Amino acid sequence: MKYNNIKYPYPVLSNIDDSISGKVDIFQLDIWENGDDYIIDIELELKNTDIEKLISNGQAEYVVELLCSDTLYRKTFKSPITKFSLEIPKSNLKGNVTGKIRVLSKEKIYDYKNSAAHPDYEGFVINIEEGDVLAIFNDFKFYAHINYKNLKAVASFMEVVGDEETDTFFVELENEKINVHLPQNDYDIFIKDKILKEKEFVPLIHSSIVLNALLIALYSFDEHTDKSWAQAIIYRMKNEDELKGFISDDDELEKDNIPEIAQILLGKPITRLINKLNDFDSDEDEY
Amino acid sequence: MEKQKIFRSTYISKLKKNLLNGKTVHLYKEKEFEYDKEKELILPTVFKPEGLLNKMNEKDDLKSAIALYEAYCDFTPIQASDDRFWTYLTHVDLFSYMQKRRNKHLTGEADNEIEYIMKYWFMKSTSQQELMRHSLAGLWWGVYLSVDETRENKYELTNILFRQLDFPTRTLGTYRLGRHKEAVIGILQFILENDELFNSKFEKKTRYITKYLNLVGGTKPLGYFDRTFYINELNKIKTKISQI
Repeated sequence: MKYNNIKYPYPVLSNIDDSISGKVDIFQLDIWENGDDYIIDIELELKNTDIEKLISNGQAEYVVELLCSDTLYRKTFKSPITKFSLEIPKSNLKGNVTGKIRVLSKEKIYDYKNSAAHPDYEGFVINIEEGDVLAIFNDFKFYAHINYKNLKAVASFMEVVGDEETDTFFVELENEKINVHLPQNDYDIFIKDKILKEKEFVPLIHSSIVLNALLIALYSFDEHTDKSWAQAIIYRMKNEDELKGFISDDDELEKDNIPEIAQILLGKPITRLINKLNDFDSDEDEY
Repeated sequence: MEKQKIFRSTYISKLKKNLLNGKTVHLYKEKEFEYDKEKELILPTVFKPEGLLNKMNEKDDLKSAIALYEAYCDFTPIQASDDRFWTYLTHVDLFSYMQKRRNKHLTGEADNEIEYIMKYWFMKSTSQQELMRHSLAGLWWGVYLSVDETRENKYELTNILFRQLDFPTRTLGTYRLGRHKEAVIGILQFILENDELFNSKFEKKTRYITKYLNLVGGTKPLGYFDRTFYINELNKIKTKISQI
């Protein structure tokens, strides 16, 4: 059985090949925040009589391994049942987190046989050692440190900063948020309460400064998918019905679709601007 | 007590940009690095440790690593992977240590001064490789991964890890295996118990055992096992190690 360029010398239940027939599936996966912790609720589905028997006999167990490169976090969680509820302190995770789920042997199993194994394995004596993989579920991934509840807010992925060294607007994409640099004098005016806190101006700001910056970012999206701002956008694009069709499984965007994607991400700022302008016009008509 | 400061992210980008276009190379040769104090942020819950600079010894990485770790021993993994913090330390709090430890731009030995400074004063990202290879973060993380509170001398294994700086910063530390504390402790315990095996060719031998365990990890999920597994696995290849 071959998985991730690893060839197992015995049959392993997975979705990769038919070395064992059966089912391994992540039935439910919920990742949410509770105070200072991430809660990861997982429910698994495994259908294979022999492996299920090994688990119920205490000879094998479900194992979830969480890995986070940015914090060097690596921890395994074990369970004899298909449900996990993991509590991970937020202070341990940042950026990409990968979850690997396996069924592992807890002890030596001599002459391991699986009645649902491919006939090619017939006649071979297989001895399993402690820690050997018996079943592989699909990996799951999430991006820590994104406040998923607040992703609709532009501030979750973009920040406007004053810059004394520039006399023109420019956008910087190398940080965790999209940084929109304004000349310092412009910025000082921009952050005045009468502008920044004025709800009437929101469509104006969104359709000018924010939309421009977002377009620039989306056209360079592919080179920055490791940044939090890009991950926030990926999350929204994979979870919001209006955006789902615009991103590939490999997190790639079609350049032709970018203007439309930007409009959806910002809640149609041009339409809102035009409506607002129309409101201004109507107000003027009312004496 | 003074609160710990860090740089703003946007300022780090500016420092990098200015270094790359050659504008600020000279600042890295001054006694103190001149920077914009308005670009500092204060960490409200972290106090700046007193006397850390004096404890850092450019000739003794182990001593420096322990001093740095103890100064920030309450850091969470997220805090310890913050490039704004490490870049502030390399440029401000520990600038003079950096100049002594990484001094090839001062002595004229650096082939390319800009690349040399970029490599040691900044992080490209906060991936495991970058954290472990960084001049200061690599020291902190090396201790974090090897400190063992159950021992009389909790740094006994750290001592072995830092026998050669390549071990924590290039070999073991940069492998995914290095994230699993039980693996690190198991490997270091094996070296401690078989000290005579590692009297010669330490680097080659530690590279070999790291690669060997990585190979074992091809079919077994290494995060599943405790330190005993690693000691037992390495005992199986003692003869091979001795032949290196």
